[in-house]
Amino acid sequence: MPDRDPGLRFRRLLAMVTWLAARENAKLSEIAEQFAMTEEDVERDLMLVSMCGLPPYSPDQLIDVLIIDDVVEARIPEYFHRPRQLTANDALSLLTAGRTQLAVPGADQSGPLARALDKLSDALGGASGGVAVELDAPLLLDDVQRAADRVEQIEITHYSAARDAISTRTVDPISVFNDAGHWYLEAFCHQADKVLTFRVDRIERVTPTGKAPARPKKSQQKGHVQPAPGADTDTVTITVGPHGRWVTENYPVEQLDELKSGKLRITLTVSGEAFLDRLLLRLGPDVVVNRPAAKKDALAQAAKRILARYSE
Amino acid sequence: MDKVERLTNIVALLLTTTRPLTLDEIADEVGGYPEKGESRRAAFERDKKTLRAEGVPLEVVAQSDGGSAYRIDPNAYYLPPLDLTDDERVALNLAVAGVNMDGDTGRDALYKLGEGATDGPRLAALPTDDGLIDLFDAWRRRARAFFSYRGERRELHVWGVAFRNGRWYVSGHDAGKQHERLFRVDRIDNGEVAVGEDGTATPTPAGFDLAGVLPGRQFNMYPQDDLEEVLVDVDAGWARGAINDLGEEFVTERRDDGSIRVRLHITSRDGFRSWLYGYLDHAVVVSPPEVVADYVAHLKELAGA
Repeated sequence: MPDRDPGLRFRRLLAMVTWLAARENAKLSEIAEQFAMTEEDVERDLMLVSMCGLPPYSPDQLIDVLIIDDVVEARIPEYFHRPRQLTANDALSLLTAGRTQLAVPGADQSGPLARALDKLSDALGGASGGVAVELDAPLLLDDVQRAADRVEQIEITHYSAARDAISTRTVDPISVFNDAGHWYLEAFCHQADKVLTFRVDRIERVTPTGKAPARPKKSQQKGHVQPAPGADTDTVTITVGPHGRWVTENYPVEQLDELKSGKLRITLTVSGEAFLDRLLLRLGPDVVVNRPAAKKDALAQAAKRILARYSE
Repeated sequence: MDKVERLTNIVALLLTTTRPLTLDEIADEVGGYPEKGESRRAAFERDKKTLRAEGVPLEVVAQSDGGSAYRIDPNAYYLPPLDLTDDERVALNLAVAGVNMDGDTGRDALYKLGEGATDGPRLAALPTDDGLIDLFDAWRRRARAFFSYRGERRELHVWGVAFRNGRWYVSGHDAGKQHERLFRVDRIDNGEVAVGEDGTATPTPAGFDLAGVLPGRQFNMYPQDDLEEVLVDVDAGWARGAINDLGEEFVTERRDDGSIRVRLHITSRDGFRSWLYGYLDHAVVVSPPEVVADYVAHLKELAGA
């Protein structure tokens, strides 16, 4: 499928030309892989390149591209040799990607990536400031990462904040990744008989079982970790005074109505009862659960359970 | 004529021209435009828009006859030489493959550097906020950023943007307050940031430690005057989570059953209660009596007693 967006095609074309300028020749398949295009699209774009150049667009002024036996030979004019300046968006995503990688506990702070980022930062805005990224460093991250790297089965003791329960599970690690600042272990759980995601900072203990994992799995992790509506999630509607606005800034809210009284009516998906309990406790005495009816007393119940600890 | 072909030719022409060229000169050389008049101008305007959206710095030079001429300043078009070594290139490539910012994969940025992009294991996904790119752009251009924060107009000399604990912050010198300030980017009103003129902001101070100005976590309360020292018992099983939240240095006692006692210095009882609620009925504040009484009184109110 040819890309319809001319801006995107133009961007890729200039990039391809600069990439080719740094090489004497390249295979069509190699270019296709580098630029995530089909070989047909690469060939089509290269034909277009060969019609570009400077006035009067005579053969000596056109960009010289030859495709022989799936090998591309191109003589790129000087003015397309050097990389283009980055847009703010480009520069931000590059620096952020690099700084994130460097924020991983144990990353080499003076290695090639650190040097590349210093050069990039220098070329953009100056040596100091710019972009900084900090990630959590939970105690057992190393153990979990090692098990994932070596594909070793482990037993973990894990606290689920959503269910407010501690459980011990046998898992086959698939990947370890960070989402929005928190570390997660994606693993096949033998007790649940499916792939689950565990917060690494809620893992209490990691013990290798010495057994090989059942079978290797491919990571299914693509977007952000978000509670999918299902068995463990609930859609609730609450009404709270204006002080509760932080909820809308911290959680994905499905609907927000600002009532005439100044109060907020918020509908959001919560994963697990414990999540809702914490939310209600923090919102305080004036919060009302409108829906579902079964959760109307959730706040009072949660408060009473905690109070029981103080009457012992 | 293919639009992409025309755009490429315009870039080549305006990069190499020795003097700014008028619309008619460009159209006559490059071709593919309608005959003179309004439709030619409209077609050129569309091309200009695409070029600018793609980051091509098209300059307009006013002519003595009142018309406009165009050129591309090579200094603005090209990235200053980075001189990356091969291992630096590979490292940057891997980082981009592993990190995703709300769908933006950084691939386009690598393409511009004249790199292809390879696939790699996914490492991290970071959210973005409206206004973040503009704030970063202000740092890069040494321009001031203007925005409204909780209803108050701000003028900021941007020193950098920083991510911690799931949020983006912007740091800089607040011209109105005459002081260094930190803002949460997601709290900027409507996510609207205006970027002022290039080069008019005070540069980031040399040696400025961007990560160092980030706030502690909400429960990591900073030492200040008016501190209250509180002791909290955390049940076994929840102890590891508490240590990850706070840090080992807060633990004062470990018991055989796996439970722990932590010591915190709090500046705000509201903030402390909010933190402790996170543990539901698996943690108990044991001292001082005033803080215990305050916590219990709030719980009684919530319980509807």
